[in-house]
Amino acid sequence: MSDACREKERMNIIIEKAERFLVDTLARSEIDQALLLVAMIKFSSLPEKSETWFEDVCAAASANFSNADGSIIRRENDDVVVLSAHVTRKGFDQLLERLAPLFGNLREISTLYELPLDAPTLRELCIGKDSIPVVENSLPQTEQSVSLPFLSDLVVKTLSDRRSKRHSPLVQFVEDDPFSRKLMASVLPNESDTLQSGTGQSAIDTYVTNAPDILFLDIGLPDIDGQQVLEHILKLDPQAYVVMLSSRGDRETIVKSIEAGAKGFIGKPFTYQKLLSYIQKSPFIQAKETRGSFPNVKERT
Amino acid sequence: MSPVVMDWDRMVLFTDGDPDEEKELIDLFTSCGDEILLTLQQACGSFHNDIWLEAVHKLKGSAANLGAEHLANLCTEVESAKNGGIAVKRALFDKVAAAYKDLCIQLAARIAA
Repeated sequence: MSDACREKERMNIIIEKAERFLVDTLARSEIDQALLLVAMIKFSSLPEKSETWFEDVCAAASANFSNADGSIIRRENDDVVVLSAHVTRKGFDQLLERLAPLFGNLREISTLYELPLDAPTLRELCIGKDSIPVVENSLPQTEQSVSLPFLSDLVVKTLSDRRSKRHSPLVQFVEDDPFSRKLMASVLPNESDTLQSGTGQSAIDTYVTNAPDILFLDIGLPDIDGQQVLEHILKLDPQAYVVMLSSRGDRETIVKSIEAGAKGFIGKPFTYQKLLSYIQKSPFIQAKETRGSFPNVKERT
Repeated sequence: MSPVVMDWDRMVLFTDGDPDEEKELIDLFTSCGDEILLTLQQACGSFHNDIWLEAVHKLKGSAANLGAEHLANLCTEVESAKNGGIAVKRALFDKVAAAYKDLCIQLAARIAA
């Protein structure tokens, strides 16, 4: 096989991988055009790289997201494009920190964009030789200190619509303890009816991307306080049905949550009945119930 | 009346008695619990209370959600003795580790049954 053929084959594999990622993201988001965070790292400008440099980048990035959440593309000129529907600026910073021991400070040659991507744009992005194609609304590098994800109008505006159009119920559980999170999610027998997040940042990402019918939100989260997450979500979705969870069952915490817009409060340890009761009270779940797609949950005594 | 080591009725409410689901949850609890216990053990020798308290708080939450009443109560006791110094912490850690071990024996027996 000639070098040209091999290169063409490599590009086809890259494009196929990126397109598969795009299709999956579109399907998950139930919107026509994916809005992705795109990180561009210009490795082409580095004078020397090891033979395994790209494998090293992939290994470092895998700590930020799984294959399902993101895709890493090595362009023809060795620049690397990281596509993700979930990675945040904070996550991007962490990626650069992990790469620093191998490549030095990459900040000067890195840019984070938020782009509405469709298939042709994606193709251009993968095979382009110079810079990321200019797309309307693209957001060049912003302050690295911003830790909350930058969310587009498109995704936010369609949130309520996506929720009401979806037939199946969706319940999101945010709790940093994996065991407790899994236990809560077991209230719904179908795992596909649940979303689970362990940090405040991923909670916001997941909420906006998936538009759940009810959100159970722990107050004590490792990165952002649950109260802040609540306020942020309510700004984006004033109708959000959020139930707070906390082991601090004091009056002040409860009042603060309810005043901020939470629809309920569950003290820990949570009970099966309490979780089920709030799921059944969610107006979005009730609307689905009238359409005959109520979650498959059983009263247990 | 002393608290029970494990309230299985609580667990059954969540799992509906499905043994595979119980096993999955128990495995997750013990893998998180082992990590927390290790953190707690390492934090015993330090005057820095934050790591110690955070670990105890996590274990208390997991244990209470699981239905492990005795371990959860013990963790509450440990939280309230936060300014006890290294010797007190070591003694409390031994109590927590023993309770955790007893619980793990019960959990393992349940899986094996």
